[in-house]
Amino acid sequence: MVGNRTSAIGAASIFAVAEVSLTGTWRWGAVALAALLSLYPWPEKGSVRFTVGRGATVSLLAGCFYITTGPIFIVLAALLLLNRRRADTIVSLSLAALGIHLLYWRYLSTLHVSSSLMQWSAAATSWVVGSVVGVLPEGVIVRGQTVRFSVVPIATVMTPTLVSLLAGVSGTPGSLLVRTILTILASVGSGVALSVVFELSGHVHFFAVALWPLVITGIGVLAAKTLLPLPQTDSASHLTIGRRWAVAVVLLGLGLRGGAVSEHRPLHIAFDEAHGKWETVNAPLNQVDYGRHTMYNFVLMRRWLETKHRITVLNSRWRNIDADVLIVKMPVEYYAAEEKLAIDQFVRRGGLLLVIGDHTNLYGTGLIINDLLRPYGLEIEASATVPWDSAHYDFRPAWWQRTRYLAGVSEIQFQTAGTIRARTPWAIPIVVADRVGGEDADYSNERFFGDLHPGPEDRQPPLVLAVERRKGQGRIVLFADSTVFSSFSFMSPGNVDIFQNFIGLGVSGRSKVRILLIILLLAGCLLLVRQRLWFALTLLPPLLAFSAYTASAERAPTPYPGAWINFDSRHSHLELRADPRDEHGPDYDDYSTFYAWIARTGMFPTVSARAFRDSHTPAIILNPDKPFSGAELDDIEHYVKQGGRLLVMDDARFAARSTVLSLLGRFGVGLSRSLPSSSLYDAGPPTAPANVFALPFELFRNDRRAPGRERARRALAVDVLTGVSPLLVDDRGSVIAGRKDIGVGSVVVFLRSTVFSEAVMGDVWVGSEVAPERIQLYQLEYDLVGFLRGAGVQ
Amino acid sequence: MKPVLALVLVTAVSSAANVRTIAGQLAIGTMVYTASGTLSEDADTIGVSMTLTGSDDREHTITVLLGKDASASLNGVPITVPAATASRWRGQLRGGLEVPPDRFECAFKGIERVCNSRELFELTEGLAGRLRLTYNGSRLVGLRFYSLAEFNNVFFQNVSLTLDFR
Repeated sequence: MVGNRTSAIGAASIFAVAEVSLTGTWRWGAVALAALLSLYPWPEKGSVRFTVGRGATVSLLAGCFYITTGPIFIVLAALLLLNRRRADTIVSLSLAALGIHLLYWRYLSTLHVSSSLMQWSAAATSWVVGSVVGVLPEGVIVRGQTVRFSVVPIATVMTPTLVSLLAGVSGTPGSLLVRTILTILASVGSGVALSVVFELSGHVHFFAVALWPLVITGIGVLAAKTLLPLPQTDSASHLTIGRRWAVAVVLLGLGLRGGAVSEHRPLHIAFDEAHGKWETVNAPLNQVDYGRHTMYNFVLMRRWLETKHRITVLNSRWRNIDADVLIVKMPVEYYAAEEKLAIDQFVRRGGLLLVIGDHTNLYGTGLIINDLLRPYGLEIEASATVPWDSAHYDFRPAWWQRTRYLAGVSEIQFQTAGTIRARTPWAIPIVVADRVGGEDADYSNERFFGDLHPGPEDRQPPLVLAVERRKGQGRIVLFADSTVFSSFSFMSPGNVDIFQNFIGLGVSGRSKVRILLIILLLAGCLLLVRQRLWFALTLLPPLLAFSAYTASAERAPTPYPGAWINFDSRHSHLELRADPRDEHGPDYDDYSTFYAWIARTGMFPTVSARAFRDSHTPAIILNPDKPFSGAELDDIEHYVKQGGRLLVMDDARFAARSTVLSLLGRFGVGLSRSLPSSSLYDAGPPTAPANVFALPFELFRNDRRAPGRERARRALAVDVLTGVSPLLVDDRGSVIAGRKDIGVGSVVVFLRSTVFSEAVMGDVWVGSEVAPERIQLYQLEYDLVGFLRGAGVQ
Repeated sequence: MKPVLALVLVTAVSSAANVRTIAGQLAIGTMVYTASGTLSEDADTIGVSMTLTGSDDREHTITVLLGKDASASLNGVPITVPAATASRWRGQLRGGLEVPPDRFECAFKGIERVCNSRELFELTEGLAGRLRLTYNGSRLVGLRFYSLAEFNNVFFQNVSLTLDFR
């Protein structure tokens, strides 16, 4: 007892020293947890006991067969048969199944090999299902509909579990081997049939959700333990879960997570412009030039990087690379052998090769990227991700999807990504997507999109959209959606953060001493457990859960220096969906153009929950619809008095949900209501345009008519600002924008926020020649941003 | 029945009237209408009639008569034409649109003078685009108008108008 505790404390101490000395990160909470667990008075003989039999083992084996990679469980089954006296393996295996399930979704899903093995298994067993009329390499054909095998592994979890519980446990005659084989075959066959039937009946993706296998397997374990007439085993088969187990979980989890430290020193970053001008870094981003070419580029990325790092643009082919980071984006020219050699040497020396591609082998970029990355076992597929349940895929990582590259990233608005496969087990997925399908490219369509509708013929999740591969001292990171980093969306929440993590973590050093320490730690944990390998497998699920938890607790990256504007996310109501496919139409809640245009002023917009922390960083509260607490109002007032510049924007359109009054009241600003002489009329005939040649258009426009009979007078209420120095008035003279200085800071209130919504301001594409009135509107935004920078409002 | 969209501008033509034909096309998004009609003018009166034929099996008509009094109708519905507007229309139909030298760039192509707007031209409120005017002497013989972005107009679609007066 004493010895166990001592060893646990010793291990925790070693890990704490390793963490602090090698990573510089103080994870006191985790270390304290390890210490507490080691001191907790666990029962000497274990706090949990499981006593189950071989039949349940077989059942769960079969049930788990398709949760993860089937062949893994074939191996496990063989081991079980060789070691069947140890009945406690049922618990070990079921827990291991959960762990391997997580491993599959989180790490192995990108691998060609795992997918191929599952497809092979499914193809072999689908032969026994009568409704399948054809078997393809990637799926089966039923009633003319292709159903990909990728729907099968997850979808079959329910039926195999139930079938195997019935067939494998209830005393079927024959040897254990025969029963096992029959059970697995029956499970797979019924599973394939079930999934196909569900797919074809319209319940697409019903089972293809990560949570289902976990739930079903859990039910299976409980059912096996409590309901079935399982044979009793001797006490030697009891599994003891106690102190050592708990400590080992914590230590292993920390070991897995250890060392994820971002690099903070200024770096030398090179952009490859020599292999194509897609997403160029050499385009205008100013207040004069407009149009697609001014937004569909990486200029804002470059400008942002230049606030901290040294930037080099490689305009010609190279023989060597002198940089810390090489950014390859959407190449359309193949890399020469000597260039690839230079890249390989660059990576092995410790450089970060950041490759940014896109969907459907767009304009051949996928082929060139795959040619470049072939030595590293990574490839981007000619596919496009199609969300299941919305027009766009907003990736909001759950705990099991967390990786160190997602620290501080709550959301990424993908704009139709490609998917990534790997041919090496050393590829580490960074973004594992669920609730999307991978649709094959259709080269007969614009941008090579297919029908962009999810269906059973698509690849099913988990789909990998970003991946890391370590090579030598360096890393390769592949990201499958270039549009996320285009200037019009680069500063959207999450996008710039994951890019910053790519840079910071991608170049972080890999200490050999630390690797050695982690290996020693892992070995020590196994020794600490001092039980069989089966028992060690039970560490997997809590280990991964713990690892994912600590990943989700990683700190957000520190913002780069530069002129930032904080959009307050705690109270503002804004949508930022700059959509290249123009599928959502104009919207009064969408401020993506207003947001993106801030970059044209030389400033960087960001959405922050802590917008009022630094009075040197200006802030915007836009269409607030969440209540302000007293403490929050105190913070905002303090921010302004200390010199902060705050722009408050709202609109009468949102009066029903607005919470702006309490905020304005804190600054002594009010809203009064006036009823100007504005009348309502019956709709008359079309109006005569000033230009006779515009008459044909008048036939089809329904947005205006000549006023007919007057029906009501003074039929308009207008909110008018009081308590401010007037800045802007409407056509009736009512003050709709004003300024108030408070302390050494100031507040500008603007009551026509919807003029900057996409419905009025237009989208970010706008065309290269912009209507004069729209230019005026842009200038109004630039003037308001000028106020935030310290200039007066023009 | 074939779809027809008609702009009819002339109903009263004197025997001394000079009559020209109108031909062209109007496009709003994917909808396309074929325009045909007449433009007639004499010393006192200008009238235009035009029919536009679309792909949706519908006809639309427009008539305008600028005489002592001004009148116009869209699909048979009369619209009010203020005196100032009527005066502008008269000048536009006789001598074409005013072409401010700083807003248009003109060049001769044979005997015709082609003037392209240097920047966006607002044909009417909520309808901005590029405009090309073709003149034969002082007469307007061609008009091309097209938007540059779908959000630049009230239809939120790309629009274009082609009219030839021969």
